[in-house]
Amino acid sequence: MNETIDETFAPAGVDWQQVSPKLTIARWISWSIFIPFVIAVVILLVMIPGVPGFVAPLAGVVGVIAYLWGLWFIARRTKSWAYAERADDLIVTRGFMFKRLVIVPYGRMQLVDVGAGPIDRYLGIASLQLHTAAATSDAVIPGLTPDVAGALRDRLAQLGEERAAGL
Amino acid sequence: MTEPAPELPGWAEPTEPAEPTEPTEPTEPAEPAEPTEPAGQMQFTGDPASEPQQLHPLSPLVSAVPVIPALLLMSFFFNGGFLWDRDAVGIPIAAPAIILIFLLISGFRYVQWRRYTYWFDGSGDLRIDDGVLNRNERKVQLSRLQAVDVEQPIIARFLGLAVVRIDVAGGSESKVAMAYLTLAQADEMRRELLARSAGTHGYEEESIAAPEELIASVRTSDLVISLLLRTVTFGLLLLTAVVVFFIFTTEGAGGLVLLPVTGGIPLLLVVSEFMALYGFTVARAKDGVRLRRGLLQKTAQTVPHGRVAAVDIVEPLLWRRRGWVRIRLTVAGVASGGDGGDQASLASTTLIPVATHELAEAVLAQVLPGVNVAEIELTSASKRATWRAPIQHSQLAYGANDLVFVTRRGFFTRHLSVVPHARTQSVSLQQGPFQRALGLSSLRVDVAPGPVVIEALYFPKEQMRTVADEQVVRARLARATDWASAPEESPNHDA
Repeated sequence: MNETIDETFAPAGVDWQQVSPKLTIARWISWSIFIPFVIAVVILLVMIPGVPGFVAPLAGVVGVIAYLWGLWFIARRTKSWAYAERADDLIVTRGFMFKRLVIVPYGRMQLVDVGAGPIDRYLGIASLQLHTAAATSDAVIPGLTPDVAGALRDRLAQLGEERAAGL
Repeated sequence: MTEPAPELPGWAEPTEPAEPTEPTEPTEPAEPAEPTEPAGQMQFTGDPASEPQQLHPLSPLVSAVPVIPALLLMSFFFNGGFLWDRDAVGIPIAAPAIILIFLLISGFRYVQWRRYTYWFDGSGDLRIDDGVLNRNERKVQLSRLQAVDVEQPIIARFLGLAVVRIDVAGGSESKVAMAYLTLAQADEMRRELLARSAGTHGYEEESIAAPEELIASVRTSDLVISLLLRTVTFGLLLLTAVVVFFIFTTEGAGGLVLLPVTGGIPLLLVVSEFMALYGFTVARAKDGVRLRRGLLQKTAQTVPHGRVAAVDIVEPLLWRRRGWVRIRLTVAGVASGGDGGDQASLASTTLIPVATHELAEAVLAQVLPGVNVAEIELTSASKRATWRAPIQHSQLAYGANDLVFVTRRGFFTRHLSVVPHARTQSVSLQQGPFQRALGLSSLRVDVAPGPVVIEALYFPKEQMRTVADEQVVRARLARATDWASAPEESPNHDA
């Protein structure tokens, strides 16, 4: 386990599976729409008459720093994402600033969704979402390779049916 | 992970088919508090199927009447604000136009009514065929029935008619409304649906015909006072008083602009809630807890046994001196996506709008039998939580016994939220930067969608971690011996 997860949110003695590093790349690509935005602002500042000459480069530098910080933050955040299949439940941990640990008992799973957007498909990753009867159950595992995601889905569906009971 | 719903057991032995009740003439509004029990009509002891039936013949007219006010309003505007002005187009044009449009709509409703049939099919489920241009055939899976309400909108009430609203778990078309039946038919339909859903095949007639036992009824004066003393309402009313004071002392009329906001909103809230919650009674019936309410539109709502996912005991600050509480409910399939807007869903998720602690306990015992919330030992927040929640920290607490998990939060409006272990869906821990600096964490128990939120806020993180693990285990054990379920609940696990 990496150091960004503390013991409360990632109990030891569990077989933690981390998500694919490709997830970081996928999120980086999404984040990169920030770049054209920075460029547009810089060009605008250059073109608008009356703006002091130093403002445009300053905005550019600030934009680049913000972008790089974003890259670092995304990397830390996706790295903290992990899941583990325990005997009776699936646990998902994530978050770096805002940490979160979700425990979903197998018997409560109603639906397991596997999906992939265009960037995900290009990179060959998929995300898996668990649904329970509660709309607020927020258990998503992104950045799985399709075969891992498919195998996990089938395993979870199997376990869910075995343990299913009541509402 | 979906599997076909199992057939309901026990509809096998065929005897004589159930007598289809012909729509009768409208009777005068019966008193819904003591429903008459048509003993002969409850014999579906054998054959699950029944003949297709139609709704009440007055239905098209009743459902067309509500357009009249809209038409009047329209003609009012077209006429430049003078509806009955003799010089303008006035009556000669407006009246025939209104009558024509009304007849057109009635005609359409009539065709709709002709096409609407309902019956019980061979597997005992309710089937509804309707639709004029697009035919629609629905099968209401009674094994997934969540709730049946009988409603009487104002016009239907004068004619002794009622709407039966059916909630079924899951699916986008999970709500069905049958408008209109006579009140007696509607009550019978409700009993039949609930009995069929519980699978109480061959139950004794006397027990279902047993009179409802009144548990609580809310006094009108208490309801009015309680609505006025709600935290938000009272705050806004106080603000109104301040605004009025300044208008009088400074003689500046500018403050008048604020009045509709500060005075109007709470007034609207109070009036609409009063109309929805007027005459609230809680009664115990064979098929569940029956809630009746409504001033103009009367509603009889049934919470079937064991369908309660969570309960919230709400205490606004100004109620506490009087020892009053309000209880709200999450019943799977009821609160989510209500079709009547916020107020309707507020009313339809209220177990009792105002009650003393003793009465609340008696009412709670009906929906959560064997749970004495007052006896559960609560763990209060540590001193560290003061930094994160300076106002409400003294209220923060959680606790559990062998049946339920309980959390408490909120200072101005205190919430004591209760979830049966058997209704726990998932458990999660959260921690933001501020909480991390203090070594705190918060726990949430996820339940079916509804008004109740179960959160234990700002406790030491190791402690929360233990509680989360314990709660998951408790939920699993509770599922094995599903105390909160109806005895014959279907083995389907979706809600």
